[in-house]
Amino acid sequence: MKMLVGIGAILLSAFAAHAVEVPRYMSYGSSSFATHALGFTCFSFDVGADVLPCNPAYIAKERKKQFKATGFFGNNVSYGQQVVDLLKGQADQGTVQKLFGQKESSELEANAEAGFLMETFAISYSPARINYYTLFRNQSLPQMTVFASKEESAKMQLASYIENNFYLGLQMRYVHRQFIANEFFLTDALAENGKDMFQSQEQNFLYFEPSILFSPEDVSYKPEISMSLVNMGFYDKKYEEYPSSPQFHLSGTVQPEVPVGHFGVGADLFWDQSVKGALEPITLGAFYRFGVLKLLGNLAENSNGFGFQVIYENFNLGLTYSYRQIKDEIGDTYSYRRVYMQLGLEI
Amino acid sequence: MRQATRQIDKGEYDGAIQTLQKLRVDSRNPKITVILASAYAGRAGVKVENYWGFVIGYEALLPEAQKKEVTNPSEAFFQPDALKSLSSAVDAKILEDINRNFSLLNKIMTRIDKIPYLPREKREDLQTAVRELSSVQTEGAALYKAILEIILLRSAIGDIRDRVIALTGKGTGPCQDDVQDILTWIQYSYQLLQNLVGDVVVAYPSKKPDLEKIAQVLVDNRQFVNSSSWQTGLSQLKVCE
Repeated sequence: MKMLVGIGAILLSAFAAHAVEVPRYMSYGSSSFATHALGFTCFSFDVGADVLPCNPAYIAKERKKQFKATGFFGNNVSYGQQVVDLLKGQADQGTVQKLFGQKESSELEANAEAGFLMETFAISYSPARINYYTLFRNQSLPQMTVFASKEESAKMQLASYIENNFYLGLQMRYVHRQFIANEFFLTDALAENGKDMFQSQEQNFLYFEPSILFSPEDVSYKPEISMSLVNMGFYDKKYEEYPSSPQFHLSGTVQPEVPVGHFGVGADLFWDQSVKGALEPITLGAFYRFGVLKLLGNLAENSNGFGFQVIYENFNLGLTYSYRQIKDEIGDTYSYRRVYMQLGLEI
Repeated sequence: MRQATRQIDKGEYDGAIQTLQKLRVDSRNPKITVILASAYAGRAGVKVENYWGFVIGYEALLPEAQKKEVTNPSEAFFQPDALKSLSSAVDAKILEDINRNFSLLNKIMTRIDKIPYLPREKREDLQTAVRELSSVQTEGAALYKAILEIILLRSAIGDIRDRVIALTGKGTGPCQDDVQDILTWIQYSYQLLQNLVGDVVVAYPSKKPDLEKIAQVLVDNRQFVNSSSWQTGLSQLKVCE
């Protein structure tokens, strides 16, 4: 594998500045139904909402062989008609004003993934994860931020019971990504060599994401504590536009007995080089499962989300709503709301 | 820079200009200068929807326009009434030359007629933006500068049209100051056009041979406007009261 040629270890590395600011959940390549519905408490629970659990240590507790496949999609791209009008030459001043006057970023995500799980071992393959993000600013001379990526990935999770209720897990994730990440002025793109703005770049990344889980079996409210290190590994080419810095998670949950169904509540504390403020690292999350219905939710300082999943025989359908808030350099706050849908198959 | 861009988004151009000027003290990043120029342009009222229609198809505009002659009297700079008023003072051939060269501007005007006329008091900001962009040698900055120059040119054409219309309705015929103003405007317009062609060459290097021909025509015409025959014609006019 040529990806290992010229390896650059990025353990605890920090990028001072990125040419393009892309939502973290996109650049980490881990966006899914569970991560939007549970936020970072996804590392605290094994609710089976995705093909593989966020925390690989849970694979050691898997009791049956399963095949899973999911299709996941979400977007808020609202300027499709304006782009069509521009391409057809039917645009007028209003069209251009509406297109470049948008204050909110436009995002699209889609992923298809299939995997196989058994006790201590799981694999999955995703032929295409698509991320698309654009932001227009400055109506005098539009500055455009464009991020588009296509990722092909394979994951393998290994986990084992150690002793004294401790489980150890490791996720190895290989990602081949092609992406465009650029910030430019409109006139740069319209000038003769503007096509250079859209040259794609490629990166191969092998992630090693270990976790350790403490899960005593004999306690009625089922407490669990875990530590995970994610987004850590080796790459063949370094791109400042594509931040890939390790993130540490400390998670804890309890699942007290309830009269009907299953209920769990947990918290996650994360740390990475981008953390600002005391409350930002904290995420609270909960799930409730009753029959064919799963409800999931999370709450953090700048984001929250909730979702539900309905299971019918081997199929499941999930919808999740996600909200995040970003404060900019001059103190203005911007809100982003997204709805994502997932269709799944489980055998 | 992001802070300044946010300020521009909110229409806080004065604040953005201040922010960027401070930034430029410590950094030579040309992007700061381009955003600063856009802040001045924004303060002058220039937004993307004003020039989008013109920029698309920009490459074909000048070469096409150059080939065409004035066939329709309505495309002429000096309308028949104005020609009649001025013919006593200025050689008819000169006026015809102006009309013929003005067809180039008319072709441009046909394409940019959606660009709003910019009042004189707003143009200072636009001129500052153009000066700022002169120090940035990128294709995109050159194209943006060309766009702003076209807006200046369009506004200047608007001024002189009004002036000529007023002149033809005067009844007493043109005096020296009237014609001197027109001559000054013609020289200014040629200068703008020369700069504009130079910027388009930077933005579209493969069009350089075609554009250089246009640039030469502009140089020749500008020299012609500066020639002594104009000064002779001007001295034959009465002094304005």
